[in-house]
Amino acid sequence: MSTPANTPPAPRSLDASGLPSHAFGHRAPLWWGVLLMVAIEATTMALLLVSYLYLRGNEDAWRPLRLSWRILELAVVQMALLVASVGPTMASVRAARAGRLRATRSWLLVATVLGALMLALRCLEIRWLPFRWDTDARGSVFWMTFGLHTAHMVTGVLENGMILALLYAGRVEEKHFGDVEAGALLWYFCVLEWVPALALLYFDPLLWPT
Amino acid sequence: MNEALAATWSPGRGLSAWLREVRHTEIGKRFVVTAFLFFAAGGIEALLMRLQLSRPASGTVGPDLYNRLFTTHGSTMMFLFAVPVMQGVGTFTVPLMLGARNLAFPRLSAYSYYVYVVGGLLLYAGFSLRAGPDAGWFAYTPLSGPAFSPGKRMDVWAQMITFTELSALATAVNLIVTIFKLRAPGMSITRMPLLVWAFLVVAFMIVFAMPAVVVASSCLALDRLVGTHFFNHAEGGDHLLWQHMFWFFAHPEVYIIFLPGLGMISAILPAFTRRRVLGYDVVVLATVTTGFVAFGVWVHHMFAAGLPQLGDSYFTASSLIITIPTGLQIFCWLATLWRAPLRFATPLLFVLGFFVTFVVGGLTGVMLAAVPLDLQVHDTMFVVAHLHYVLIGGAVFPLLGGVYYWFPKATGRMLNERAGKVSFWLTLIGFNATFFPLHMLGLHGMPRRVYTYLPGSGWHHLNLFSTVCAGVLGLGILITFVNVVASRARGRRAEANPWEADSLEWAVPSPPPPYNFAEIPTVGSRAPLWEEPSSRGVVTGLATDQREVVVTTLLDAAPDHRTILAGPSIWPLFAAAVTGVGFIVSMFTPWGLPMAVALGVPVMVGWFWPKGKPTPLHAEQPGTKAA
Repeated sequence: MSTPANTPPAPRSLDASGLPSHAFGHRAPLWWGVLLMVAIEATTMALLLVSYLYLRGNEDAWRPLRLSWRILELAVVQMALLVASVGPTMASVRAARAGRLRATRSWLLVATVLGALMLALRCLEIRWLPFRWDTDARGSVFWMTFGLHTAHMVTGVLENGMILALLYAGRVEEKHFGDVEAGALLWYFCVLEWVPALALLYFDPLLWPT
Repeated sequence: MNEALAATWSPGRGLSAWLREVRHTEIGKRFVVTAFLFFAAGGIEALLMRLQLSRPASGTVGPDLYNRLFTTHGSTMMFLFAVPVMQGVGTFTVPLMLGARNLAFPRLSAYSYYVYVVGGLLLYAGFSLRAGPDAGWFAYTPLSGPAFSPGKRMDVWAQMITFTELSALATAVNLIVTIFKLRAPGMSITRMPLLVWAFLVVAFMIVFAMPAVVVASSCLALDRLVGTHFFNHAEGGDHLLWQHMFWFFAHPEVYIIFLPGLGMISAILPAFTRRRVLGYDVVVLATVTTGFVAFGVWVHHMFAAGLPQLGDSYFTASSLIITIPTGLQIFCWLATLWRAPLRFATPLLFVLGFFVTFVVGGLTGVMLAAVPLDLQVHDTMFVVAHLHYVLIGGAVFPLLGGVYYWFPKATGRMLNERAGKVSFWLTLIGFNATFFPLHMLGLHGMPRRVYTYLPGSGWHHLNLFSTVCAGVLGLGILITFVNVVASRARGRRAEANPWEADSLEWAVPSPPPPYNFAEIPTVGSRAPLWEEPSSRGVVTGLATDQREVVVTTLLDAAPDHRTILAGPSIWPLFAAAVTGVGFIVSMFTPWGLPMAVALGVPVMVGWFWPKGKPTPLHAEQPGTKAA
């Protein structure tokens, strides 16, 4: 019942004035907060993908929801834009950690423009999709998953937009560099979650006999 | 120095300051008080149902009202009482127990509270407009779907769920980050109080369980509003998908509700046994194990749904396994109580009441985990008896003990002991006498959720007995309510540590000042107030003119850096209002969500845009050349 020996003894009196006034990564509370929000959204996305598989598995004769090549190409271009945005995001985080304001905001701007471009293409895709959410359950689960990712991307672009506004016009403080890094976590997630969703919603139907 | 701290951390006076409040002690208290008001409402609904069932073929409450009563009762107790009250206790106790000055995200905790209030008001506005939900608290499709529940009743339910889950998720994130990063220096993860461990596990369970019900209730709302077919068999949907998603959330929910109760027992026992809880490691590991296994048992709610037998067997086994960690904890507490110099104050009495009632609920749980017995008593009063034994025994008894235990800390006054003891005995006897007969009624075949029964059924004696005893139970709870109101005004003044307890919340005055700790302590043991009463070190060098706190490392709680916590703000209230408008409008038109986004952007900017004097950058000023 004694205190475990492998933990350090309590510091007696401790002068905190010498400690740094902010930190990056897992040292920072905000980073954990965003990571947990991402965990919540990732669970949501996973549940929708599992729902898709559940509906597919329970259907006696699953009729895959095939999309035209035009839409598949559009979806691949969107994915490419997302992947392309990862590099600039990482560069902005690196610059933020080094405290280089101009590099931070320039790279973040590039990433955000790529994301906004992807959203513009998504608007086009919404017009092209040949079925609606109320067509049948396949349409429902497709639109729900599609809608969730779009909502994540809109959030990511708006958040980046706000950070950019701050970095360009506002009164920048050290802690805002931490915001850049935390915002990047959400951005990476938006890219990553769409990989299995794209495979399942767009390409899995091609594997089924018509 | 204390004046400087008070000036920095005080919220100010007046209505505006009240609405901008972000102190965890205040938000926590508001959560608890609001949750108990909903508890009272749910209790009145329960008494009305008991009144209706007290005699056969009674016409006191008609079938439609009865359906709305049991749905509102169940939804209130699960979503507006049990989870929020635990959020409140966590919000209040965790930072104090960790030696912190507030939660990591103070404004988020205010948002949590306001969103929860909006959800609760929505349910009761619906109820009073005869638009209260009526398809049961688990809202099975197709009954809750557009074909069988026209009107707005189930939309009220679905959106209320979304509000309360949002609130719980926000609190969970807040608690996890606070526990990870704001522990007093030296409070390594192996020195954390057991209640904090319970809240940590619960918060992680919320993060991974609650999204399931948010997805499920959103799909239901969409089926009802825009004609999606998630739960429509004719168009390739599946009713069982609802049940899976709902119970994937709702079984962990049971543990989300009672693990904090178990944590409270671990917090209360030391003060009244004069010894630390035996088997710290066992209790921690059992709590963590329960958290994991809780995600693997949900199908035992669906044994009557006709699933493959192999699946049923698997979930029987996993449901039996979960009794092991819970049993281990109970044995640790029994060992703590064994031959200890017990002090029979009200908090300890409620803990002992927990043992009696919860173990009965656990035993019927083992019975229900077996498929043949479950099929026999499915949808009968036996299940009603079981779930009340588990939830009231596992959560409400420790919670009432917690109310008597932490009331002095929260208000600076003691609750009346004599009234507390009377309340305890009436609650214990009333509860058991109300619910034990329901086991028998269930075995005799009385179905749940049916508004009446016929005279020849032979059920009326037990039902009448149960109703009378429900009155006793209600009286027991009422005495505690009166005790709280009266003691709040006139109770004996409480000193800092009236129970001579061992954890850090008792190191600060009762009630705590706005900054909690005049000097953040450093911690060198699991029972800092017992083992290092005079030798505790403190953290110096923090700014007193800013809300500065020290951030520590995750495992060892070594001092890492300083950070400034957010202060009072009106934006969480506005954000909750926008959330409310968005969800409530989207009961009627899908344009509610885009509307909420449009309204939400300025609110988010208002919330996060820096105000006041900025700290200038030292690395590089705007305008210099980037590398």
